[in-house]
Amino acid sequence: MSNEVAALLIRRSLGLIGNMASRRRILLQILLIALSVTALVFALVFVTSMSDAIANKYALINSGHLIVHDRSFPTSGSYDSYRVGTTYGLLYSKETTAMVFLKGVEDTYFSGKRKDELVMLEESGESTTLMKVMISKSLARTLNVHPGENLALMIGTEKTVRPTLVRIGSIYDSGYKELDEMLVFTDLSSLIRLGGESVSFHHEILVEMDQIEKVRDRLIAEGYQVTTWSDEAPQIASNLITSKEVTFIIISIIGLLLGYATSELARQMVEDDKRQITLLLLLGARRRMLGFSYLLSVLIVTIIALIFGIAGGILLSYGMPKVLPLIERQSFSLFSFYLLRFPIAIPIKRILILGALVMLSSAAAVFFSLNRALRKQTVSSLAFD
Amino acid sequence: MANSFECVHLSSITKSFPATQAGDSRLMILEGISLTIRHGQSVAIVGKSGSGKSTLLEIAAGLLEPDSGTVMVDGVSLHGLDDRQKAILRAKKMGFIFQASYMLADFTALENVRIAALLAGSSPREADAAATDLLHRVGLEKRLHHTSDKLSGGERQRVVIARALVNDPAIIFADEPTGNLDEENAAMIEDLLINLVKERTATLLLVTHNPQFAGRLDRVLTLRERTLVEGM
Repeated sequence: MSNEVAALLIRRSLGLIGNMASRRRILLQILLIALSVTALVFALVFVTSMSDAIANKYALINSGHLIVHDRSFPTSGSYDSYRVGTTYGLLYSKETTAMVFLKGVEDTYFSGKRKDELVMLEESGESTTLMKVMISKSLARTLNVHPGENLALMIGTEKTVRPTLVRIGSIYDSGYKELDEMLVFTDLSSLIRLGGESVSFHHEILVEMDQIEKVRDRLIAEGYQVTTWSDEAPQIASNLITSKEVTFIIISIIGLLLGYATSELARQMVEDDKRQITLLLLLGARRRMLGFSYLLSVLIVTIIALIFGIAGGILLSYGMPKVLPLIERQSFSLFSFYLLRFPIAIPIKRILILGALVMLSSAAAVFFSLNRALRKQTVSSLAFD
Repeated sequence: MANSFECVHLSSITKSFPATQAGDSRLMILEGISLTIRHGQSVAIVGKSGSGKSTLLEIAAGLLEPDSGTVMVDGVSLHGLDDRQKAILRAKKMGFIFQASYMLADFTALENVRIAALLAGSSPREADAAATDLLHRVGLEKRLHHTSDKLSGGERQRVVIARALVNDPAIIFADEPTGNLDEENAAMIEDLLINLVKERTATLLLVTHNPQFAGRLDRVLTLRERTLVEGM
């Protein structure tokens, strides 16, 4: 009935039977592993959420999730589509010059999901006959300008290159400097009038991120020429994927090391129980049964710590959108150029892989550590001393 | 050849240990010792400190390998048994009592005895019954659920005796079982051990310094100058 004995030994190792010291040791171990896992899960959720949010924000304000290059594409149809004209230009303020990407959009452009992606910081109420532009907070800082001020805009057409006076209608903040520092919005008809032949046209279609491939295939089947946001910005897309993958690999390696660290608990348990183990061997216990009971004890500790750690990491992640802007306001002004508001995406599959890696490395490390420690214990080491 | 009446049979046992100082030759402890103990017999080994009594006991119990010679316990040669076979033999056929009353820490008196029964293959119900019965027998019926830190030295040694006997072993190996006890407790343990061993017709191989205790057993052997002689 070794199972019965193993169960008693496991209960004792877990501190369910016995003194407070072993109970405290187990609780401390659970706390340490859980805190480490919390940090890893938080990092994983943070990077995944931020990468997904940057990708989505890029698609929403720069290119749309899907881009249809046919001018014949119907603006009112079954898709959430927007007609857009784009060109490049130079903006001159009193102090400096900036190259910009001009996007001419219609009134309906800033609605729905897209509306939530931009925060209007300052607006000029003055009426004017000049073409109005909407520039980002980072561009306004570069040019050192405010709403209501005039700028010179130069767009190179096939016929002429001449500057035109434009008025800053408003300043927006997308939340991420890298995406908006060149991006200037204006009215589509004004851009056509000013840019002429240099303006190129397309339709932006908004879909859910996980629907991109499906909708693209459907549009191609309907005979349209379609690209995705990642085709338009392969550098950004691959950077985001790479940063997610690299972070996951680093977190996985830390997870493996964390699992290995649990073998220290097993070594400590065996060290503390030397005499007990010898006595049990003398009473006829098998090393395999003793090893199994210690292994299972450590794995139970690891599983409990993983559950608490994962739950802690997820809870902490949901608190993140509240905490980051608070930190920004309190101290780190540099944060203001980065994406601080984004929906939390829980990468369940990756969290489960991380948990499995911790468990596997823990089991392997504990197995070898126990084997080594238990081999040293012989019945004669207790003997009749 | 093993005789069915023989419980322990030692033949030409020699044992030496490495010298403590460099340059010394090995320290010879036992030389050509042969001994046969019949089933149900109680045997005491006496001798000076450091004469090798405990070493002989460890060899007879299979806890220590002799340099040469053979050991048979209940008809089974210990030579060549693997760890598993030795563990089974210890669990089913042997009981151990030490000078220090080693109990499994954090476990109650009942669990200590019960675990020994479970390791020998008893079902939980059988183990419970046997452990409870023996603890009653050694007078610990009110201490069943006390852990070792809540028991006195004498009580702990009674738990150890119950644990050694719970599987009805063929032989009990005991090394100075009263060595750490006061006179009153020592006398109680002596009586208990002798009576229980007789009651259960178990064999007892005991190492002691106490000539009175040794004299109460069926046979006394003295270890003198690496060899065993009959009598004190």
